[in-house]
Amino acid sequence: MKIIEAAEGEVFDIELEEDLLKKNRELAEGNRKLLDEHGVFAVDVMGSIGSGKTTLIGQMVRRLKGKRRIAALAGDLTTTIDADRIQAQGASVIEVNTGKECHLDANLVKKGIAELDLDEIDLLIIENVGNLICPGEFPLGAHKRMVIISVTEGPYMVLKHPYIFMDADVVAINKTDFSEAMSVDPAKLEKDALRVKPSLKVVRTNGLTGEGVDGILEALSIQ
Amino acid sequence: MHELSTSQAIARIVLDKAKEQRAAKVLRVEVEIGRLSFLSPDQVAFWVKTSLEGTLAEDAEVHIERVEPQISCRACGYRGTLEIEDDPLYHILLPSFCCPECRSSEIEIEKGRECVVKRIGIQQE
Repeated sequence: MKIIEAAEGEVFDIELEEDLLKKNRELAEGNRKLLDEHGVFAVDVMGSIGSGKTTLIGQMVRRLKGKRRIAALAGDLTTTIDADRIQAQGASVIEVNTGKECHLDANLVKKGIAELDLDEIDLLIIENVGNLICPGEFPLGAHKRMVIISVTEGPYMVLKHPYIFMDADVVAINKTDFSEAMSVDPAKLEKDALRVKPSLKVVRTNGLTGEGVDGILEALSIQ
Repeated sequence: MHELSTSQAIARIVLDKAKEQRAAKVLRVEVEIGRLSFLSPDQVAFWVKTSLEGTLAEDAEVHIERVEPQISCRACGYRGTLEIEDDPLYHILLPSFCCPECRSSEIEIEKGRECVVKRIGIQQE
């Protein structure tokens, strides 16, 4: 056998191949498995700050109250404002504070799920931190991912953030009642979204009146 | 936006491995970042350098290699790159997450989303 001994001070290459995002993916798969075992369907709701995530989730909860047993995980940096608003609509809510992190990750969701009695619920709505960039990188284990954009964010939200739509199943274009005032054409936003990912289901909504919320539930296959 | 926490994780991996290998110094850190990941390579390089300050890896060169996207299509079997449109109107690269051959959305992203600490070059004690 040939043995090569390193001389003192020699430089070595150490192979690591350590994928930082793999750990999150594995945890997400674990979350999914746990949810499946308890028959819980989970939706991850993403969107920028002020796009209307909490309001639309509140509307979804109102529609489903009595039909589904709902819990929500509300991701926020430090406050419980969103959690309180969703709770007021009749879902049991666990607040997940990320501190300074710009997204929820599978580990935080795992901790959140551990606080829930999964046998008591069949629908879990996860409200991600308001951000159109980072959450896309961190699957949480949800069955469906929805991105909410609103016309008040301007006409270029899809073109500027195409990657968040990579893993999305449903897109809600919110605040459509402001389209004219904002001179933003929802049809253009829809076209852009479908250009990025043709299989997306796009729904136009007005979070305040609840218009389009049935369309969201249908697109997410929630009865 | 999560470059700092990612970079701190990279630094931790590098330093753990260096300690395990009884390194006197880390001279090089090689990281692969996929083009479809949400990480900015320049920022990661900067924050990794910063996170390694005051450690045995503080003089390490940080190399970031970009990994091009690769997809496979479940519908037609296509395997290759994604269609990325260079739209001069917006000065952006707009990816299309569907098969460039048959337009099916039933695609799997095989490469391009990773963030891998590939290898480190060390000098032993």
